[in-house]
Amino acid sequence: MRRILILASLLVFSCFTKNAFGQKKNQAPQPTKQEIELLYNHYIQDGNNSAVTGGIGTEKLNVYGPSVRITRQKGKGIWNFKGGTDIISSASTDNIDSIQSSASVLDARTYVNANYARYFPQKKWTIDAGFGGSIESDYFSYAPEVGVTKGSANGLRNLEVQFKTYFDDLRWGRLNPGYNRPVKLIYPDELRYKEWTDQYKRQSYNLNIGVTQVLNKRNVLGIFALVGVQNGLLSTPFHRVYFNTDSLAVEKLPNQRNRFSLSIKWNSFVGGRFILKNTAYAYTDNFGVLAASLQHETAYKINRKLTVLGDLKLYSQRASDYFAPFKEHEITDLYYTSDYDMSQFQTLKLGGGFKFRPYLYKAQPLINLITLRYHHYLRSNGLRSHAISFAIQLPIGKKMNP
Amino acid sequence: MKAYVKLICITCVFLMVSCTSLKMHERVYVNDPEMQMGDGSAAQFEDYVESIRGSSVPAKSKKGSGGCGCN
Repeated sequence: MRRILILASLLVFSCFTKNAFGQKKNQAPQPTKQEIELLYNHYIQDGNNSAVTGGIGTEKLNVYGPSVRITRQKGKGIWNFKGGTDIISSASTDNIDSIQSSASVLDARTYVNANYARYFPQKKWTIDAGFGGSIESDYFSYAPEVGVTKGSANGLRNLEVQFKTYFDDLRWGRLNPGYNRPVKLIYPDELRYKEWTDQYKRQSYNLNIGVTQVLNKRNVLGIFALVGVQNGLLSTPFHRVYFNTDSLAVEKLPNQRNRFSLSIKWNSFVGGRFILKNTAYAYTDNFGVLAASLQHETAYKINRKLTVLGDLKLYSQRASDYFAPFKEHEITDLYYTSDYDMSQFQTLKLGGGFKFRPYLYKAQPLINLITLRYHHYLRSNGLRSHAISFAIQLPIGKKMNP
Repeated sequence: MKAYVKLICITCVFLMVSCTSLKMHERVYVNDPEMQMGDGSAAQFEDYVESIRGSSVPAKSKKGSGGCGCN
């Protein structure tokens, strides 16, 4: 299955690139648009329900995330390349081992993604294919994807279908001196006396289907559905679970998870300056998680260049059937986790920011777009986080026509 | 599950009957960058973090798996 997907992705990829660069000699050269986006994300989190220590203990976490995205549009084809590193300072990761330091363990997640999309104007089709991958000391993942978008004749409706897969390997050792290869799963220090599972791979298949419809001059509606299936090792090998008998084990979850999610987005332009974006979504899976969310974002255009953003999101989740807090699992339970990400909670997310889009009538601006966003996230079990994102988009290469 | 199927069917019918025709000069609002359904890179990062800290994955989300629960 995996080989077929990779081969199909590569085949589609090669067909597109051949079409994109195989221009006829008598064809007029088409303008090239290139853009580079530099992005920095900073994430700070604190809480007291770490799954590493069985549902108690620090969740203090810092993520420093620089990344770069390059987009190159030539004719009807668009190349997209993204790469970045998340440098992670996690206090809970210290607690995997018995040697607990006050300083946090530093880890890094490095990722790349390349995507090519080609537009066929006569049929209003866009077909895209891509390949991504990420690596950490205890994780390796690669992700082929394909997609197709069909526009209506009047250009007011789009139907899109995306199929994305992830193939993950949870073994540790690739980035560790002396090993530099996948060696083993990492269990909590005191639980390394045996192998808790014979699996170390995880496969995820996500099918996204969406319809976007322009309702009138000022309203756009989008409906999106996700059907996802995950197989393999779905638990995290260094998550502890304490039973009510005081015995201890590694988290255990079923080997298959089926997910279904439905989102509705409604964007509305009110007056000459306000854009109201509303999103509602519902989610369910066979782990017993049921979730719903409402989000509202207002964008206010102060002038042609500057837009101010503000948003609010409410989220509620029912616990997984396999979740219980610290020392509340029965020893007879078939599956068990004390990961509070799978518990029952409500969250509130508040945020704001701005977008600055320089506009010059005839000249090429030095900057296409600057975005700054900040969010504060509150979870009913006490977890709090702050996220700051700064992005700057710059034109590169040949100058574009205004 | 039946409720979801009904909702999808009703919405599809709604979309089909709500077809409108807009001339190019009438599309200035719907073509505004802020009116697009896709999210920028900064918003995608927030979605990514939330999909880890919650157990659900919204449709159209970029994240479905691929590492870094970050604990």
